[in-house]
Amino acid sequence: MEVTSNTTIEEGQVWGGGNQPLNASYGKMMMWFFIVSDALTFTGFLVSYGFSRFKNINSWPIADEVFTHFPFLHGIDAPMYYVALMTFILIFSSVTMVLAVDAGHHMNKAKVTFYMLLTIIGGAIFVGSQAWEWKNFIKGEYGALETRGGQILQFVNQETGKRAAIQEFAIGIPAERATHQSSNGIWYQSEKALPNVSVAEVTKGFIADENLVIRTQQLTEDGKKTVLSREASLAKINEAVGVVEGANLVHNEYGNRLFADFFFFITGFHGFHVFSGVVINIIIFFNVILGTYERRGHYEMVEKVGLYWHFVDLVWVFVFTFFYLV
Amino acid sequence: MAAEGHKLAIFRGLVKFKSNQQKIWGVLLFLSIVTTIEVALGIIKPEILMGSFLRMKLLNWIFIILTIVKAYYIAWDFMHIRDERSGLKKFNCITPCNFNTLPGIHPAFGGRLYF
Repeated sequence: MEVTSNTTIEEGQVWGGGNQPLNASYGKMMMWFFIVSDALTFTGFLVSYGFSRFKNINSWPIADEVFTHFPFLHGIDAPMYYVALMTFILIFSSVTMVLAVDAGHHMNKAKVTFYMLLTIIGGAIFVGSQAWEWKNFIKGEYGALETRGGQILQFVNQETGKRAAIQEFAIGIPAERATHQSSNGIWYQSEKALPNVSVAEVTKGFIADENLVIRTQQLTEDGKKTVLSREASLAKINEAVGVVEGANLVHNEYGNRLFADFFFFITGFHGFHVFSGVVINIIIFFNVILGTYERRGHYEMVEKVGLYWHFVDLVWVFVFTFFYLV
Repeated sequence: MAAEGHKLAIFRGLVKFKSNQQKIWGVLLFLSIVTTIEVALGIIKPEILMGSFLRMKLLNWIFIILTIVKAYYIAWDFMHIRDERSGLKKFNCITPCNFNTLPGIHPAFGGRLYF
């Protein structure tokens, strides 16, 4: 259906419809418009991430230390392996999608159905993996103390050089400190669940264990976080005002709280795209089974959702680089 | 728009495929290799690439360039931009690119590349 030249078409025909600008159908053109504007949104997110990171480079967490989990491997340090696997899954689902589009060109209904199904499964695995990453990130691993100025103090064992979890070295102090409920006071005041340990308990445990030192957010010359001496650590721990376990939009045990905010917004926005892509794919999948496109005579609808699906993959390639690699 | 309309050569004609399906698998192989290189570099972090080049670590330059290479093949072969007309090509690619690079060089952001 290659249109040879648009210039020879009479003006009346051009404005009367029946002419496809840039040789793309209306639906595909609109999908491209959407993709380009969506790309600008993601660009805005990533640029602001880069900007914030550049401005706060000294308190920015090192991604390798944050994302270290792999399913069924407990306590094993596996930086990035799982994200890499997720990337492969998404690229592969992109491939099955483009194979479905290709089968659509050949009007092969059985193949389109099969490849669409594989694409949906790949997308679902990816969304599930992202949910799991979020769970680990929110739950946290070692815990940390936060100073009044918002600095994060993490703990390291001097002897082994490994991170120490506050849960493990804190010494319990019998104290009455119940979570404030809105039913026990002014009705609009309540608080979230209390951390498992208090600042006093962590401090007590820290003083008792000679091997523990504090690791601050400050980057050294060779890009590592500064570890204080035992004396400096003992002085520093008095500045702590709160216990942080895990990460949310306000506190972040891994470092700068902006890191957590960007993590939730960028991967969340991308995950939402994957989720809606899976939903749209399922709708098209059923349309394929019902023979809608067989009757229509072409599978252009598969091509259009394919464009969207590849775009989601494309965005992930960038998110992967800027969040996990750089 | 039929399958015959696909351009089947990649790497500027260096590699030619017999069918569109073959080209898809070929591109997958290429993307997988690039991703594997990225992940390996990210885990090993070779000392030799930690030097600074144009205010950014050499390693980060490699990551960003490899990412753009990957993005090119996803857009060109999976999204079939290779087969589209040049007007659509330009519109789709140049619009986001301008906005991508602008903040990096804009004086308001310090006039330098981030990271």
